[in-house]
Parts: sequence; structure tokens; C-alpha cells
Amino acid sequence: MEIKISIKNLEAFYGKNRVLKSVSLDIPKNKVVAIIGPSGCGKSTFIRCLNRMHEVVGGSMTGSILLDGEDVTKVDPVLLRKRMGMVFQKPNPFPTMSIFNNVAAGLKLNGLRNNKKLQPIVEKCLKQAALWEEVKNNLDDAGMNLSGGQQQRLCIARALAVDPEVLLMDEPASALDPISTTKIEDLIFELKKNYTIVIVTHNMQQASRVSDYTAFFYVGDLIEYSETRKMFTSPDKQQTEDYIRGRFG
Amino acid sequence: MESGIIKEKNFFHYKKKFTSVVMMSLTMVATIAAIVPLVFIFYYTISKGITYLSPQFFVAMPKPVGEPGGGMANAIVGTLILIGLGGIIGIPVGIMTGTYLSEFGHNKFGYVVRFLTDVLSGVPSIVVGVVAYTMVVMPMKHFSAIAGGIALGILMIPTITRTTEEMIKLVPHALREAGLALGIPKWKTTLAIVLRSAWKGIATGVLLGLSRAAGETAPLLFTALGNRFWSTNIGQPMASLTVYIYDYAKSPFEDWNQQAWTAALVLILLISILSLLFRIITRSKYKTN
Amino acid sequence: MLEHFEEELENLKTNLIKMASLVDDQVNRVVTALETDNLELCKGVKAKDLEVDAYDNLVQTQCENILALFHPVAVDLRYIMSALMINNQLERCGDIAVNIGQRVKKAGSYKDLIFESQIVEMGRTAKEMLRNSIDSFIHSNSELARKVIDTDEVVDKFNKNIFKFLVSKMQTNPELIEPCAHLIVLIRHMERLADHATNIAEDLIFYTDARIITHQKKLANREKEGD
Repeated sequence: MEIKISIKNLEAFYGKNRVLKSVSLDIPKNKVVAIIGPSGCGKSTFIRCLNRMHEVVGGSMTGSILLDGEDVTKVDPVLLRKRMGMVFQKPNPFPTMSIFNNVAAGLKLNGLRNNKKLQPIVEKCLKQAALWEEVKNNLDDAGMNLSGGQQQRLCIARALAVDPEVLLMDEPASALDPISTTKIEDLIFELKKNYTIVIVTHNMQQASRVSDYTAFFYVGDLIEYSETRKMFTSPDKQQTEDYIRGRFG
Repeated sequence: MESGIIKEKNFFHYKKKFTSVVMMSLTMVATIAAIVPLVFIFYYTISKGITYLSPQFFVAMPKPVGEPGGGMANAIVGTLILIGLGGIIGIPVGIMTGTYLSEFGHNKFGYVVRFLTDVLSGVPSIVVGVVAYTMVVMPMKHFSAIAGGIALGILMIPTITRTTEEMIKLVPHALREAGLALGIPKWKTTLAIVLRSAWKGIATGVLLGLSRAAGETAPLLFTALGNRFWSTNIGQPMASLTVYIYDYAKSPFEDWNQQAWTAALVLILLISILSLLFRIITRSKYKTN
Repeated sequence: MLEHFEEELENLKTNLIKMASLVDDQVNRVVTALETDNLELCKGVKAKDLEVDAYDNLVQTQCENILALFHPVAVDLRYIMSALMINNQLERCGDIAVNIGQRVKKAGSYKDLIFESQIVEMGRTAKEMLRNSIDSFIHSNSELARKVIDTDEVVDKFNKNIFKFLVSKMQTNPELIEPCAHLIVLIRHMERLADHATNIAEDLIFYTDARIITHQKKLANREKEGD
């Protein structure tokens, strides 16, 4: 099993405040890894360290994160983020842009402006995001006119357009209704054939449905990391078992 | 048996009702008091200025006193040129400063800049005019539209800066994050995404700045001075509606006083059209839900 | 609809069907062996039973995984519950087939005795009940399941009558005591086989109709007696 991202002794800080304590885990290629844990346990911080978005809000980190063996701190963050796309909790399509332009934004703003060349890429990404059928006749409509679930799929298509290798998803379905959530989960299952996916979720049932591996964080510590099947049938640590049984947090 | 205290129409109930009515009336009175001056301004300007308002007013040049058929073409064009010049200076500087302050200005330097901008917005316009006189008119050895443009530009900067900064702050952080997460460099994110989202608000700030500049008189007295004749040479003195209103209104000739009213009316119309233009430009391209 | 949840369910069903066909084959062999005195047929039954036990563990693990990962509700939940119960029943049927095989080896040569006692008819009935119950599960056919449940009476009657016959035979022909003893144990096994088939049918009805009809008769009778 190939390892896509190797994390060793990652510590993250907000100023002097340490929010992640010595986290080490390996993310396998083309698998879905779910990060679970109660609020404030550092799961969002963890995922944002991977594509160095943590720095954008004034955070800092130590330890090593290797993407295909390369240290991410030694790479230009702009290039890094083209390899690791991110989808956020609240759908955030660009309000001034049409559906087409939203998907193409990452490419257009990096120099590729030829609409003829962009058209097949936009179509492919919308199909991958399971949104094509619903919008193929309205590509010039405002991105903001879509429903919440559609907007989130639009954001996924947008992230896919820059051809990343990894998709980082920070609670992608928590702002959505159950049917949209199911659509997103089905989507993740399809996407993992071509992308490595790390998904943060506070919904344990979602983690159990969707992921191959699960990592349980608690107050900045990685408590347990194992195959999802094992974690939800016979976890190693008592803390993990208490959490997934709903006995705390 | 329901609770008597709440259901009874007792003293407290009536007292509350009375207070409510009083406050409502007071706010209505205050609103009317605020509208009345505006109504008066419009009334006087329109009623007094309408007499001389004709197409000729817009194309003819000023004529000596008493001669019929005069106009203020040069002043109208002059005002437009002057606020245009002011805009060339004030708009870019204002927007860029506002952008800097909101995106990068969370440090000591930013604090200082913000403070100075506030101070600048409080400086009387006549003082700005005198400074422009010293800085531009004296070295050039004559009055000019350039000097006037510089003065007006300086006056515009604080308004535009402040509005730009506020409007950019309103852009949700999520949009910046989305841009950065796509691998778009920060400067491009700011330009193509943040500014693009905030541009309507920024345009409003620009409009405010331009309108303020259009209505300034004192700084122009020291810089553009005024011009009887037709001139679009920005290196030379230039006429403007405000200076004309000043000159004509204080003159002893009734004919000229009349024209001053018309000039005032035209100025108000100019600003209204400017405002309308901005509304059209900034209206939403998409139908909103 | 979660695609991979559906996949897991299909997988589970496939394994149950494979297990069921193994058991069906086991039972078929031993009953035919009884009919035809072809002891060769009994040979593979023990070996097959190891496979059945392996499937038992596999199905149990699969059900555990599905419950833990997908938290099914309503019809999906009943499906998993009935799958677990049927799994259990099938495994026991496999064991019973092995036991029947052992008895057949001991008493299979007493052709006349077997013919007179109508054990073969009982065996065929029990075998058909098992096959029908498995069929009803594969096709979610509650009609067929009810037929199986009704046939249990027939097997019970066979059990009583054959027992009486064998006891009287033992009294009149003491030289036949040993084979008769084996045959008495054999019909006990067959009766248990029919019971398990009935249980499978009842579990299927739990899945399709959301009704628990197991132990219905007993509970109803106890109520009557209690008055």
C-alpha cells in the first residue's frame, strides 16, 4: 500500500498556544481517511496544516509532512495547494462568478483563459462532482443561485479543476440536508478511485460509512488510528470506544 | 382563571402605551425635521433655477451682464474635467490604500496610516486648497486645472480609502480561503476575488468622493481659479460651476444672481445623474432569488 | 442510496446462498443415501461441514461490519437480523446432516425396516422443507415460508407414528433392537432438521412482514393453559 502523505511529530500552534501535540500518521494513496473527535480537538487544524492554510490565519507548525516524500514546508505554498485541494464546511462559491467561471476560477486566475480549452475541463469536473446533469444548460447562471448541496458540489468541482492529487475536506456535508449529504458521500466513494481523500467530520456515522481509515483526535492528541472496520467494531483504546459509543464529547 | 397581573389592563399597560405613542410621534417629527431642509433646497433651487434652464445654458458661453442668451458651458465642462482629474489621483490612491489597510494593515504602520486618513478627512477643504496653491500653483507660476485636480484628489482620498477598507472587510474570509486553497497567490486572490466581490461598495465610496469634490468651492479658488472663456487646457485656469455660483451669487446683478440659481440646479442635477449612472453600473447582472 | 452499502448487502446474500446450497447438498446426500443404501454419498458430508462452519464465521463478521459501519434501520436492519439468525440455523442443519449420515451408516442396510417405517417419506418431507425455506429466503417469498411452517405438523406426526412403529418392532423383533435404536435417533435428527427449516421460514417472515411469529403456537397454548 502506497503512502501518499506521511506525517511525523506534527505540532501546531496559534501563537504560544499548542493545539496539536506530536501527531504521526500515514495517509495511504487513493483511500479515504476520516478524522473524528469532539469539538476543539484539533481536527480542522490538522487538515489545514497539510496544505499550509494554517499559516494563513497566523498559525505555525513543527514536525514533518511529506507529500510523496517531499517536505511540504520546503515547497511554495501556492504550488502545494494546487496539489492538495480543499473543500470547506460552508459552501463558498465566488459570488460574482457564473457556474462555469467558478469551476474554471483556479485555472483562469493562473493564466489559462481560453474558454474553448476550459470547456472540456469544466465539463469533466462537473461530471466528477455529480453536478453536470443539473447545470449543463445553465453554465452562465450565477453560482450563488444553486441550492446548498449543489453549491457544495460546485466547490468540489472547482477544487478538482486544478487537478489535485489530494482532496482535503473540512466537514463538507455538515451544512447540508440529509439527501445532499448522501450525494456527497456517494461522491467521495467514487472520487477515491482517483484521489486521496482526507475528511474531517464530527458525524461518526458518516466516518463509518465513507472512510477506509479513521483517526480519532482528542484535545490535540491522536488517540487511535486504524482501519475503519476495526475502529467501529473493536477499537484498541477505551477512550476511542467511549467516544464512538457516545459516552462523552 | 388566568394570571391577573398579565391580562389586566392596569396602570402599567396604559403607561407603556402612552410612552410608545409619544416616542413614535417624536421620531416622526424628527424625520420630518430632517427632510424639511432638503425639501426647501430642492424647492428653491428648482423654482428659482428653472427659469434660465434651457439647452442653451449647457452650450453657450457666459455673456456680459444684461445680454441675453448666456450659458455656462465652460463651467459645466470645467467641473467635469476637475473632478475627473481629482479622480485620477484620488481613486487609485484611495482604493489601493483601503485595500492595503484591510488586507495587510494589521500592524503599527497600518494603524498610523488609518489615523492619518482620519485626520485628513477632517482637514478643512480651504486648507487643502492653500496647500495645493503652495505646492503646485507657486512653482508653476500660474493657476491651473491640474492644481485644482490635485486639491480635489486629496480631498477624495479619505472617503474612498475608508469606504474601500470597510467594504473589503465585509467580504467573508471564506472567499479568501477558497481562493488561496485553489493555489492562487495572495495578491491575485485580493485582486480577482476580494476586490471583485467588494467592487459595488467601493464604487459607492468613489461616488461619494466624486460628489464631494464636485461640490467644493474653496480649494478651487486657490488652484483652478476660474475662467471666463472656453478652455480645456488643464495647464491653465479652469472654470467650474461652484466658483461661478460663488462669483455670480455675490454679484450685484440680478441677471447673474438668476444664473447662479440655475448653475446650482445644474450642479445638483449633475450629481444626481452621476449617482444614477453608478446605480446602473452596479446593478446585479444576475437575477437574485 | 449508498452504493457500497448495497454492495455489502449483496455480498452478504451471496455468502448466505452459497452456505445454504452447501447445506442443501449435505442433506440431499444423506437422505438419498437412506433411500438407496448408497453409503458412498455420505462420504463428502463431513468435509462439507467444515466449509459450512467457515461460512458461518464469515457471515457473522460481515453482519457485524454492516451493523457497525452502516447502522441500518427498518427493513435493512431486519434483513441483517434475519441473516444472522438464518446463518445460525443453517450451521446447525449442517451438523444435523452429519449426524444423520452417521446413523445411516449404522442402519442403512436394513432395507425392509426402513421401507415399512416410512422413514424415507419423513426424510423427503424434511429435506423439501429445508429447500423451500432456503428458497423463500432467496426470493423473499413469504407465501412459501408459510407453507414450510404449516408442513412442520406433518413432520411431527411422522415423528410420533414412526416412533410408535419402531417401539412395537423392538418389542416383537428383539434382534432388530439395535437398528431400531439407531433409527429412533435418526428420526429425532430429522425432526430437528424440520424445526430448523421452520425457524428459517419464521425468520424470513420477520424480515418481510416485520412480525415475530416464532414460538407463536407455544405461547398461545401456554396462554390457554394459564386460564
